[in-house]
Amino acid sequence: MKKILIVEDNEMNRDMLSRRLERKGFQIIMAEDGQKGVEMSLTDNPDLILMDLSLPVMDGWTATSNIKSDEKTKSIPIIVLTAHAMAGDREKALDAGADEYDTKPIEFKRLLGKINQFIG
Amino acid sequence: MSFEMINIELFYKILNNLPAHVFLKDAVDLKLVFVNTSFEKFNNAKPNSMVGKSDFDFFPSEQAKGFHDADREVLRNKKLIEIEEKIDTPNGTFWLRTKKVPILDDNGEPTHLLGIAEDITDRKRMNDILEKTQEEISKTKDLYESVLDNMPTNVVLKEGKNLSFTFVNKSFYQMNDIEYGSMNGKTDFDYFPKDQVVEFQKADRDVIQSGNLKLIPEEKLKTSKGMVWLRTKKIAIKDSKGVSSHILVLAEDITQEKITSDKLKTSLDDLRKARIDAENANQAKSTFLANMSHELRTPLNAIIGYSELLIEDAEDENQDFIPDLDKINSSGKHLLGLINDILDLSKVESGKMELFIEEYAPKNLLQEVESTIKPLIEKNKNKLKIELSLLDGIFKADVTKIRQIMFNLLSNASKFTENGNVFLNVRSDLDNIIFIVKDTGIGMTDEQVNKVFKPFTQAQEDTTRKFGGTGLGLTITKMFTEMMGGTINISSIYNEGTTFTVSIPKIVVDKNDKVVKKSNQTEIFEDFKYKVLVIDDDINSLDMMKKILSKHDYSVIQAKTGKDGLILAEKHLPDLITLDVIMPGMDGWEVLALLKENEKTKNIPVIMLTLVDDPDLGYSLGATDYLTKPVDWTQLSEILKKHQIFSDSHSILIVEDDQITSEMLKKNLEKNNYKVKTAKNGKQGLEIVKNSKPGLILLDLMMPEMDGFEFAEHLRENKDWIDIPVVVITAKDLSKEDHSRLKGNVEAIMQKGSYTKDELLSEVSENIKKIKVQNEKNSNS
Repeated sequence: MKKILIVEDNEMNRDMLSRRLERKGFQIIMAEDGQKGVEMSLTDNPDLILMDLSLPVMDGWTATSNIKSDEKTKSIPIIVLTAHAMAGDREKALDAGADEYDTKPIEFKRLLGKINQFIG
Repeated sequence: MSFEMINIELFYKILNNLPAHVFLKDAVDLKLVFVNTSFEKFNNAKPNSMVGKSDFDFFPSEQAKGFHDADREVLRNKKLIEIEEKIDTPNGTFWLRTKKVPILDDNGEPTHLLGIAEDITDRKRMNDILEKTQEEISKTKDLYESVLDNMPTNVVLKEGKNLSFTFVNKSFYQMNDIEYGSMNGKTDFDYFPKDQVVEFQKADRDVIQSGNLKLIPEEKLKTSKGMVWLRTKKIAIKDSKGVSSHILVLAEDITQEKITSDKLKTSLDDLRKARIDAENANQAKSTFLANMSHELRTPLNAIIGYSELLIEDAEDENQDFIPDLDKINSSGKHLLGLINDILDLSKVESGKMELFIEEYAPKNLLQEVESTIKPLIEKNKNKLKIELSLLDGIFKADVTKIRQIMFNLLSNASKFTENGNVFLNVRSDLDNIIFIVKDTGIGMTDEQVNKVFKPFTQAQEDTTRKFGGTGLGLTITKMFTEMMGGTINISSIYNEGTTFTVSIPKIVVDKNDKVVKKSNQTEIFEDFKYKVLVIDDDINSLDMMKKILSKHDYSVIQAKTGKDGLILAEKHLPDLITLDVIMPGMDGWEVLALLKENEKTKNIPVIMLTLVDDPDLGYSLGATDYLTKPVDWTQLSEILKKHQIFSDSHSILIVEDDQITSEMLKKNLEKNNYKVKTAKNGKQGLEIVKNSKPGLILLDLMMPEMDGFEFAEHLRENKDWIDIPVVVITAKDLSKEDHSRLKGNVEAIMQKGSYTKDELLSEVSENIKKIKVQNEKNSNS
């Protein structure tokens, strides 16, 4: 079973996303801030990370670039999720080292497609 | 007695030769006893013919009676009288001045009346003429005064020495409610406040002294009726010797005019204020909408997500719930669309919507749009037919907005069409790319067509209910199209279908930003070359640069002098300019200053190439880069490397009000053994710089007390601090306005922010430096 790490501070979003993904047969682990996300990427060996951008303690851009600059975790695909559907956000996310980008509110089928691209 | 006799003869002679008329009348019957020759001649009478006769024999009886009355009065009163009288004679009319004297006997009783009459006709005539002339003069004077009196402006004539009123016209009396004619001889002090009079008189004396006319466009005068505004002319009146004897004051009452213009000014001010208020309100509205829409999205996220979860549950367990859950879900999505549209609309309206111009491949764009729109097309059992016939060329636009335009038009077409066709035809002419969206749907009447782009007005009142949608899609589509310099047209036939034609320039230019932004998507630039303008007086250097840059796929423009460089920069608008500092004529700094002054070239990044270690000049236009928050450590460390800031030798100052950001940066830097100081605002920052100069400053822009812009300005005012590299950290992309505020203070020597090929560029610049050093060495040896 593929393991997905969700880094998201909003509890409802975490709950929703995890339940829907579990239903699709993924194992879900969760972190509620960027710092914990980085730590769990090291300790829990996820197959893919869903990363929110506006996060407490350490934001998503920093967490992404930290994960991507660590030899041990840099090969884990990261899909960045953001509520700001602003042009330029995608570029910023990709610049930080993210592999994909999607906007909130989540369109589940689309996100699922993107996840399956990496670990399907 | 004989003496007397002799003397009587002499006496007669004397009387007859007197230049006056003499007559003697008997006191009782007033008959003439004696008349002299002069009187006889006067009466045209023969000598001695008058004696024994009375006045009635010579004069008209009326006149004669008058003479007799006077005679009797003299005799009665025994007193002399003198009469001036007009006498009509056969020779004409004469004026006589007559003295009548009673001759008394020893008892004092009158016996005779002596008359001596002087002919004053000539004198009288002269007098008459004089009087007539005076009368004429007075009439003329009256006329002039009456003219002045009745002039519809105030006329005041003052005597030159003591400034007393010589003449004041009616208008002035009426204006001041003073009794007509009462001001003559008085002065302003008698009527007006002292302060004001002092001013009046100062002006009066100026005019009298200089002899020049003086115009006072507006002056206030306090009258008993209230305040009046006057437009006053003061004129010196000169006498025949050229000395100013009087001052003439013409004062036009402009109170009404003044009130009107004041009212106008007030209403203009009000209008201006209202406009500013409206702009502020609009701004506030936009900010509110932006914030609100973000706040709304979070709970909506939950509504949409959980309803989808439940739908999935229901599919497995209880399908009865599905229709209701679908309604919740689609309502949530509808609301979300509405929020997004309103946000877009308010952004465009408030001018906050910016264009992000990038190069795109229309083919890829269409594929994306097709896959997005497919479910919507299929929902109404329509077929989407796409045709693409494009001319070659580069296409640049705000792709997100084109995508949205396509999506809006296609979803619209599909919404109003059932079991039909939706055509998308994309073609291009020389300058434009043209998107045509055609459907075989319900079409629109002319009336509906006319209001189709107006916000919140769908073609029919019940359209929303039937077909959904926000009523904003087409409004936004039109706005986006026009923002990019394009046009949108519609033609529709009721019950047959609708065609939208959108034409957008192949290369969209942001009106607010003449330098087109480059996309970060590297793959797009595979066959696109950056244009670099190399300005250098040394031919070897120029050639070397060209070789190096061409090898790295740059297209190179060369300029041998600063002057040529400026012309070429404006003509070609290169993506980057390298500029040699030491050149004959205009040196690199001058060229840089002129480049930055020119609207067209000011945004072009310039790399200064210099071998001279001149800190005053070297960083006079400031450093360097800006980083976007949250700050990425890799980026930061690269910048530190670039500026040769090493942990063992340099401290770093963080000027940032947000504690979390500040702490995080500090931790990261300290982890890498940098000495770090922090300041909460610009003011504190400057204090720290004063105490010990840091190696580099990380600067937030939005801070309380003194913000980053102000801080940078102060920093650059001090020569010793000019070489401190400043790296701006910002939560947002810098707006154009921010850029211009930072210009000359922060941005300049090397601006990499907009380039993705950072490393490549820095490598190039490193190479260039090395080559220059090599050249210098060669030429020195």
